[in-house]
Amino acid sequence: MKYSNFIIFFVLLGLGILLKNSINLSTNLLSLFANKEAIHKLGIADKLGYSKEMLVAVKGFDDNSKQKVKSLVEQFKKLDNIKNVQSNFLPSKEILTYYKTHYPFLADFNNTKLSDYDIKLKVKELYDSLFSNVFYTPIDKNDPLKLFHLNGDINKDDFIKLGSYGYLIKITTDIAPSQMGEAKSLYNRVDEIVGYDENIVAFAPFFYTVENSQKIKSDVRYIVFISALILLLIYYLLLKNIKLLVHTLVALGSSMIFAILVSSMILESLHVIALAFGMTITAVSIDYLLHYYFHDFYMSEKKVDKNVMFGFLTTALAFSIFAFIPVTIISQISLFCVLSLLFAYLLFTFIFPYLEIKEYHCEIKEIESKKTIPSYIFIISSLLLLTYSFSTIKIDNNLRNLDYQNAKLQAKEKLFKDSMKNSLIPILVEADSKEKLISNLHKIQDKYKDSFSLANFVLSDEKCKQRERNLKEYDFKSLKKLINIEALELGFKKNYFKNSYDFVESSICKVEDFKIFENYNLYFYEEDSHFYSLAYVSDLNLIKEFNFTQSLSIKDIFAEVSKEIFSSLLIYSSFVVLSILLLMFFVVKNRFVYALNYILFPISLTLAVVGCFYELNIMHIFALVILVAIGIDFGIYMSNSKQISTTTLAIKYSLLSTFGAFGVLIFSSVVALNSIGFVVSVGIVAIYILIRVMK
Amino acid sequence: MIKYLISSFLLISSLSANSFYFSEERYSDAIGRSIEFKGEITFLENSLEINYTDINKSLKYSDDTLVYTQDEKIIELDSSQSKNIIEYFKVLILLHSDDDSKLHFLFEIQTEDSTTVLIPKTYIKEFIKKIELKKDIKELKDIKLFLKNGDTIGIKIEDEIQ
Repeated sequence: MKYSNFIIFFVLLGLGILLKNSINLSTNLLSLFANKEAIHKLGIADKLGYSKEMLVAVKGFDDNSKQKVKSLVEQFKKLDNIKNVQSNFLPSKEILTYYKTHYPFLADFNNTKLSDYDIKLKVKELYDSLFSNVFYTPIDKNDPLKLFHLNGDINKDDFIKLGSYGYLIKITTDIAPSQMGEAKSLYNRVDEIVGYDENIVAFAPFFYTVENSQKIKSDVRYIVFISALILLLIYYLLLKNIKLLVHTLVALGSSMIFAILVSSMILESLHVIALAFGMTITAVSIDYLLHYYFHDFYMSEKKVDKNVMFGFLTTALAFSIFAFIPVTIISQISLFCVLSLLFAYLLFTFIFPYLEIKEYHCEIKEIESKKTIPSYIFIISSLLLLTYSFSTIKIDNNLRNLDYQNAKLQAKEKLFKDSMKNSLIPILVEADSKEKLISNLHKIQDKYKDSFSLANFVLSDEKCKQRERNLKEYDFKSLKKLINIEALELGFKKNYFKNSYDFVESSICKVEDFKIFENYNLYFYEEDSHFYSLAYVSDLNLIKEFNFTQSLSIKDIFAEVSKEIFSSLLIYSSFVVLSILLLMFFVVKNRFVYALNYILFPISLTLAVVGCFYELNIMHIFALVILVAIGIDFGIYMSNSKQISTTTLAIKYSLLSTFGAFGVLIFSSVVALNSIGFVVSVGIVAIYILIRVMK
Repeated sequence: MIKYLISSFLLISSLSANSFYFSEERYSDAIGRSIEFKGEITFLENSLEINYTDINKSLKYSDDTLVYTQDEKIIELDSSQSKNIIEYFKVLILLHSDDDSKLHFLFEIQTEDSTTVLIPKTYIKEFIKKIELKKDIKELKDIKLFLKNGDTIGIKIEDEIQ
């Protein structure tokens, strides 16, 4: 039995190695917060080319810049995962052919009936213009009377300009920000091309995936290293027992592996932030060991220690309730914690007694004399602090602020956004048929002329039929006949206008292949008998009246989601607090107010400090709940303890280890983790004050 | 070579003398005849001015704006007409500008004896089949645009205006 701790560890480690390919780790921050519907819509938008555009800017407008653009275009075209590279507004061959075949439908048509006299007069004007016009004006033999007129200039050959910065290259990739492997590979190749040229700036949404994921991973490695170092130091200094230290570390390792394996079986993918956070939280379970060790539980005949058991149950209860919250990050962390704490509790309680651990020898100094402040003072102080907090605190509901703040990439993104002040914002448009989708796109375009979508190229069924009627009603045959007679009389070459207006006959309205519009980032996508496309508009507020549109702005989605998260957190936190209070009342009975301070005071002090320096985000709230779970353990231990000095010492050491596990998150540059570290660190200070001075 | 030809053609770029007498012969395929105009052409940096002195009409293009004047009165041009003239002027400015890189970017360049032929590579090929440049001793004196619709425009640079 004395090797059982190692056996369990190696069995779990073996299982971990065996099943490592089925452990799916994710680094996509959005998937942690956004609800399934929003993620689904963003997934569709990804398929429609949203977020797949890469922008490259070359500083300056001189020849050198033009040469660079030319060279970059050639290099980018050779890369995998690149669908289109555009450095000017020149339409593709396919688009030009499309314009030719659909011209009578796409151009404005002046269908005013012309009399014979009008026609003769116009042909005469055309003839005279050849001699009187000082500037060369070509004659359009297909439409000599200019009945058709196409708005806008499709033949723009100039380099695309990015405001006053320089030239712009627009690149369409087939990489969505969630495709980590491909994103990293393309990111590296783009980096090789762009190199260290300060005058070239490249940006794509998937750069965040690559850079932030690398930063988060290295941040997590750094935190885990610091945490491990602090914990090792504390454990060694506290326990002064190498054997126990080794067994403790092995037990913590087993608990983490157990939690990883089971949560991987339950969850589709485990987020790296949830994993890192869950692993550090596991270290809190050393509280159980410290309590057992200092109270000589392993030397006693007792099977369970009620204080530790109730402490564990309250913590497990809190996390179990949170495991069901419809907010992925919180539910993942909670699930991981329930599993790892359960396993650690079982090991420390039922396996460690067989490890032949020696009795704890240490002189404990009496410190009770310093406890001078009655518990009701803390209750009053807490209520005052809470009142202050509620009057000052501001809520930050922008979930993007929780991510790693990649200032360098944000500056690049800002450069493009600021320089493209008139740029249009993409929205998702849907309908239950292709025709209806085009009709919906036209509804947007009819109202907002500056919008850009397939409606710029494709007519709705209704408009097609209307134009077909107009064209049929117009007598092009007679018109052509008269033009040719008059032209010959005036001196035009014979049969010069013999094919005039023939293009009307051969034109079509129907679009056979929508792929030709992909160069403009305009796609169709069908899923479950629903049709989707993107439209680009100048103002998101304008499209709110259309119920077939959806904003794709991450900010909007996050704002919507954060409302749901805050309300979920409120409901679930109420459940957790209520359950904990009930359990605590049942366990500590007449010392309820005393124990309650271990929840109320840390929370009120933390909220007041957060209110002074930060805006309250959802990770602050989640960390407050963890603080409740930790505080209640100590409240129970302190209220029920018969050896108060030993318990105080155990709690002090627990606080140190809690700081080693959680508090170190304050050093993280990922705001989500930093927020937790901040709350727990302030909470630790509050609990320390309580154990030192509250009587 | 082409750089030398073009820069010597209108020479113009680095010298202060930028104005020339010129004659323009337009062949219209629609009527199978040519029409001739005479005037003065002035090149400035990124701008161009043509004066048809006989008929007192002028066209000035600068800063992406075209101004048409007749008898010193500005006459409004419709947008498509204006656009066509601007495109044509841009080609002339490019030929004068000595922008070797852009010329190579826009044209395939063939040189044979005293004639240089520019074949459009980009969208210009929708309108222009080719451009012929001819030199006389040192200076290029003749430019001829062959348009897609069968029309041609020939410009003969004559004496420099002193």
